Amino acid sequence: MTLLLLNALVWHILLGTIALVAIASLSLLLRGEVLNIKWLKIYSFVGFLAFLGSWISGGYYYATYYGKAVKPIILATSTPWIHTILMETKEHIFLFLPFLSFVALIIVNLFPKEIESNGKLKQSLILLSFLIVTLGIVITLAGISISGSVTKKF
Amino acid sequence: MDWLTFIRIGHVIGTVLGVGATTFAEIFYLKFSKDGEINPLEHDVLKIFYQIIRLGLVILVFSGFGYLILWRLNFLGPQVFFSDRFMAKITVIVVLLTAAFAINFRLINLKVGSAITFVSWYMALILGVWRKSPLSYPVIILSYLVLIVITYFVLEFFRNRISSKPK
Amino acid sequence: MNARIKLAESIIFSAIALVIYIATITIAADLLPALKESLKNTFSHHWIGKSLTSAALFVGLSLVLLLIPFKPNPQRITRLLWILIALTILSTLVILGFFSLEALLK
Repeated sequence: MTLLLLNALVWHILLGTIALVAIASLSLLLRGEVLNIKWLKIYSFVGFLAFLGSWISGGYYYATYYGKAVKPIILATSTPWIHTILMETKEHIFLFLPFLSFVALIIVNLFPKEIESNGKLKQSLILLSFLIVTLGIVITLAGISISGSVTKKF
Repeated sequence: MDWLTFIRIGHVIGTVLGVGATTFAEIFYLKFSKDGEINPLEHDVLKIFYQIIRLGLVILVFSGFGYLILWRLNFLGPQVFFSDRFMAKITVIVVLLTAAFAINFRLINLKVGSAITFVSWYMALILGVWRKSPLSYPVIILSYLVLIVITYFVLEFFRNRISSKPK
Repeated sequence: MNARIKLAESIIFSAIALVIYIATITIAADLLPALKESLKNTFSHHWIGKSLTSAALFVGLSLVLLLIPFKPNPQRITRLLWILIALTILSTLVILGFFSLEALLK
């Protein structure tokens, strides 16, 4: 693995984690009656940017390295479903996250006062954040399984 | 200082903050409940503990991923990633995160949530330290569930004892 | 205010179209090797093709909807968000179910 690929993998994981923590923090902030609009905007912005970064770095690693160097190893193990189900699902579901977080970012920035006063809008934004975090955790667990099944190629 | 040492220090700090703050949050909650109410100052003190718990959790998550990255780059493979101890630890952390969310959004009873988070923090600590644990995943999880139930009743015992004492 | 509502509605609607598109292209590319091959030939990798076409769809549709004259409706925003949440969950389950079934049948 080259230094660039190593960085791509590391930043994919790190930025994904930052994004999840940001969106989770966003959802926790939304539960108050009086909202801290400044931090809502910061968390939504960080979440979106981090997902974008994770998408690009992970995509580079996946497109240039995973297919030829990692996938054959996993397929040769006793748990090939880790690629055929987990990785295949993960790589496509991940595509939702930057756009979902962008929707959250737009709502927070366009309607800060309305989120506070409109219970239904706030509730739907909380649920959207929950969804992003849940999908993120599922993707993360899949990623851990994928990393865990990679042994040195002999 | 190499990356492993840096990550290890971070992980220990996260655990210390989380376990410590959870423990003191419970102790102080029991103490503050003596007079039957939590006044604004007491509420602020508890709030500080909850913020430290959150900080500990964030440090733990990031340093935990640091470990995973190092394991991956060193090809430690299924023997480590799919070990009973590690899978149990991941289960406990996911339960802890879920319980923390559920408590914050008032989706579960606070007493139940308290017992779950209290045991989860200590379980994560024990599983992290007890590297040569011979226990299987089902045994660890069963013990974890039993401990949650026991802890719930122990905390309930102390709450009742404190509230029944003359003020 | 109307401009903000219109922008939000356009973006949420585009996100809804996006989650449907991703589920569709994922399954279609797996069932139709020619489609997967054409994505690979055009974009060097099928997944890059899916990523870029998804982004293009999202941005393009958002711009088109912004230009189309429709009456912004603030109540619709919450409804659209709920639809987005529901369809994302459905698309996730469809994608997971498809790959699980495919692995089972192989």
